[in-house]
Amino acid sequence: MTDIAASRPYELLDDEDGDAPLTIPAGSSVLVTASGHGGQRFIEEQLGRGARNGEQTLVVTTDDAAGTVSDAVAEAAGVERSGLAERLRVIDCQTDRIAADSEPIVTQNVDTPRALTDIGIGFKEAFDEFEAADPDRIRVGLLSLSVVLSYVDRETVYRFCQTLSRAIRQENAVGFFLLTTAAHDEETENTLRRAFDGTVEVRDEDGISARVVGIDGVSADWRSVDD
Amino acid sequence: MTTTEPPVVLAVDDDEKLLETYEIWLSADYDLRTATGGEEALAKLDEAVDVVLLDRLMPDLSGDDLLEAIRDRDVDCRVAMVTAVEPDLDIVEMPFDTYVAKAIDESTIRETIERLLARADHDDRLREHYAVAEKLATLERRKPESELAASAEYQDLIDRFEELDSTLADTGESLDRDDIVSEIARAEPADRIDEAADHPEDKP
Repeated sequence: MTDIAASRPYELLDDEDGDAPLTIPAGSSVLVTASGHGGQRFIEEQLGRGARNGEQTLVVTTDDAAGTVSDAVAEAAGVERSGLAERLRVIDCQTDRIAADSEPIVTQNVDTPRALTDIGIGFKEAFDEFEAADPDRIRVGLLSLSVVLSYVDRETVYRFCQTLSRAIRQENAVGFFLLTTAAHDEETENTLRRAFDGTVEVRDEDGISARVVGIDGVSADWRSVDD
Repeated sequence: MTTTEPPVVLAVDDDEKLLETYEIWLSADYDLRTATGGEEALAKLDEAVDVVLLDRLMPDLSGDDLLEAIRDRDVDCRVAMVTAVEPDLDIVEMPFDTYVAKAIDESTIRETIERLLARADHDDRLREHYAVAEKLATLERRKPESELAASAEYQDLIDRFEELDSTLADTGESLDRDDIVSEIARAEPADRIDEAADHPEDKP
């Protein structure tokens, strides 16, 4: 953990119009809020960006098949899915599991998004595997907290997130937790925010843009996400 | 522990010799209650109890049944199951907090009690972390930013939240990967854990 390379910031967006690349410190976890699909796309882009640079990727999926999510990450990374097999792990919590083509990348099958302890086991096992392969850099995406919140009460979800964000800090990883704002009241969003180090607000008007809120030393200006 | 009262430990075992040994080991530092059976244990169990040391095999009421009765009482205590053999089930899915394999010695028992007390403190902080976050969110929804800045209640909550955050970050130093799992398991509502314990064969 004292490795300097392991604790350097993670890049979220390229430099743009004279602005430096947007980075957040290693160990950060953020709540990614969006009213529509832009949030999921933003997270897939982030995971793909990491994968392209040789980082490890852990995805928790509640809705999409493990294969679908893997393809989205591979596409964002600009590689074939097979090229990610070593570095991509999926915790698959879909209640209706149909895709059977994704076995090599599924690290943990969880019957329902309600089974938070099983998701936690998936995190532990993925971190253990990543350590054996390459301990340095890990990006985590959870798609989505909104679905978990439809199964589990808010306090339990909060504590789940709080624990995971401390675990992510411990690993010097970064975590992106998706919340679709249209599905929840403002109070739920503002409560959950505090389980994380900060928030990434994503909006989808004439292309996707995003800004980071609440992380010391990181600009809160809106930036365009599309290439 | 915010109180200076010694923590309350309830030791349950049909072996009176062992209870006497507990007295010798623990009564100087803990408020020790002892019970030789299930009925007596339930009579001595109340909100004040912090830790229960529970023998798994007792003649009148098994430790497992007693454990269920304790959990039904909804008393916020930690239970260490004292067992002759290591349980073969995944500890995460059992409704007790830890186990100690016989033969036991003083330092193991003390460490176990202290670990459970520390864990209870940690979980209290996690619970409060949520409670404060929720209160802050409520105030943020009701009042405009200008009013929040002037609100002493809001500022106090912000201070408390930051204090909890930094304490948790410190304890986070020792959050190993197994703790991720047990911490999440402890946050889950009891019915969900029971469900998992009832169907261990369903696990992948």
